[in-house]
Amino acid sequence: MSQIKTERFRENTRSALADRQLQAVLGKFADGFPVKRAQAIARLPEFDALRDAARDIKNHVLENLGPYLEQFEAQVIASGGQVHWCRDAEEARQTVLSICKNADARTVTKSKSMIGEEVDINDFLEDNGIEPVETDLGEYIIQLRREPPSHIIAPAIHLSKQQVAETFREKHADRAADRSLESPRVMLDEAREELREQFLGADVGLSGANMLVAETGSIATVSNEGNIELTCGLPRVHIAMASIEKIVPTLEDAATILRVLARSATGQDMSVYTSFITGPRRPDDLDGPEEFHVVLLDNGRTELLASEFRDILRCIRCGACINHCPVYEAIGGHAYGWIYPGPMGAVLTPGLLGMETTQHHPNASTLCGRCESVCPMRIPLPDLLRKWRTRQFGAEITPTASRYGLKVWAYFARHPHLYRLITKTGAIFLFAAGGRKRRFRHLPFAGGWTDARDLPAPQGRSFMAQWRQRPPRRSGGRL
Amino acid sequence: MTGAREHILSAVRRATGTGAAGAGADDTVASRLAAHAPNLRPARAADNATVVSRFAEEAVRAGTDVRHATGVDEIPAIIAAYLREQNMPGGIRVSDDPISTAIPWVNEPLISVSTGAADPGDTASLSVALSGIAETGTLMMNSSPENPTMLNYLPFLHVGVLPESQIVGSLESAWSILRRQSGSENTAMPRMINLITGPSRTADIEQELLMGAHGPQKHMVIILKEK
Repeated sequence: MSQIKTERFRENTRSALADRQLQAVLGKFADGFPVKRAQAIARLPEFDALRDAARDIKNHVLENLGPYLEQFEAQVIASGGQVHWCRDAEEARQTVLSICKNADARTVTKSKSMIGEEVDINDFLEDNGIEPVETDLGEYIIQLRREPPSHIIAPAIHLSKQQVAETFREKHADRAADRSLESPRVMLDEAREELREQFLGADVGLSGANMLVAETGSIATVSNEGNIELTCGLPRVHIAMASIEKIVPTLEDAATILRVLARSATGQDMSVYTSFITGPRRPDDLDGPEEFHVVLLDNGRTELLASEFRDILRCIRCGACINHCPVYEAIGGHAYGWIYPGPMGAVLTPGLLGMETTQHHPNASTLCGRCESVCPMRIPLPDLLRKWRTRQFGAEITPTASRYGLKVWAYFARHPHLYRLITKTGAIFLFAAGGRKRRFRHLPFAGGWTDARDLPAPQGRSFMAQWRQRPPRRSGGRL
Repeated sequence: MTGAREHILSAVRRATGTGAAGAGADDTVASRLAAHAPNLRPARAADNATVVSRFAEEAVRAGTDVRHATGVDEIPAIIAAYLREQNMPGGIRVSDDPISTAIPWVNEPLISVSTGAADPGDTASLSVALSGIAETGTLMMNSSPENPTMLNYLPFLHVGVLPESQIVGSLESAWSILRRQSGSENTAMPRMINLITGPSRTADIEQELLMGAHGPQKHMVIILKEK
């Protein structure tokens, strides 16, 4: 389902902009998460100081990641669980499959996991005769539709309620065909009933993890629906998939991250359910899984750790940068062609998939900086996007015409006298060519501008020429 | 996959510049873990005389139904009234905790009480919280043979009984209770800790907020003041 189509970004963008239904849904987007986030933060004067604290925790973890991973592993084992280290997606898939096979699993319930999406675990399990069932409502809907998620915390945000109703009518075929599916309430109740049976019948529960607590060997999960606990708690085997940078040192550090996570994501002070899971069922427990496995995935993280992109590993997947991105708001998540959209995706995706097939992602940004201003982990996202652009230029991935143009510009920028001469001549020429209307409908080499709007004609003199002739300031002195 | 483990750990060490011995880094990590120092705590998370009222206020904000009881003998009437109000059947699954087993149900003959792990058919459940966090109106439920976790998730209504003396300002203070309870600075973590803030919800269909996704649609906290 999560086929990689990142190289189709431009075509995807055009069709997304022309998709009226998608545009209608995206039109409501800005009134949702950003407003709720702002309200939650207004109630917490220490929010910015907490962002600093959260950033410092993850920086410390990344600097000392080796010993923390070993400590986490030792504590998982001490509490009766198992840790599986996986270098790449294929190793992670094989590991999950072999645990499922050992458990004679036929069905696997899943709570939303971006790592599960990243390694495309659903398709792989299906190909091997095991049925994966997504239980987060949004993930369940897109699984029925065989679509990838369009947002990391709201995977079905691109769909209208009519589309969800059509999907339920088609896929829940044993229900009365003429039943009413008017309201989201009715649809939710129907999904809850369908999924209750799945929860109770599953052999394995597969979850993600928001944090890995090194001190205790616990995984921490966050949800609003309660599906994670039913996924982890009911089947005989629980597998949690997480990437290696999800470590936090202590329970106290987890508390700090939780203060910024839900507020940044959904604008809640705290998500409804936050759970810390440590090992399998204890001897006298009445419920809980008999086996507890943690699949620890690298899949490119150690390379990012060694690179100038290390800061992106602080990301806690809250989605705030996505929720505040004007580009995402215009094109939605599917246009990006893989599972991580928006600013964090535009930085992370080239790191995980390579620059060649993802060349448009770091360029699809005006670098307006809204993402950085809301990031709870203070990740310098625009700066990291610029670094990818620089790398693209160095690796000659940037298109030839752009590189040539940039080189020409750079030559003149380094020779200010020539630069001024050219701009001066250009301004005079355009002034003369501007005609009576003082604007251009067409201009050679400037089609990108004049195709959609007119270009105002310059009024004759360059900025530098005007600056030199400005009246002297009364207070004296130079600016 | 031993090969993968060594491969990943050595790549991490190369990236972070810590040597194979990594003695310096190990010391840094060990002392941070031993200290488990709290980071910045907001003013609204303070441990002071107002924790109980702040807990109640924040819990209500999160959609929790908050009730107060002075003594376990008041609990059956509170539950009975709520079940009637919600037009729910009279059964409740009750945990085996010393507090919940002390509840005298005889005065409410219409309520049928059962114990043990949650059953998919249960409509209501009651279990006992280790702590309550005033900062966010959050209940801390720890798994144990007496308080199995699925009681918090399977029924339509979950009732958490919260001894008033266990209400603290912040999650950090709740961790301190856990550390004290385990008798050592190294926490003996229960299998599962559920921090619960309000009833289950989703906004996955057109961002419309609805209660009762997979977990309880109704969440009640009874703040218990011991006589």
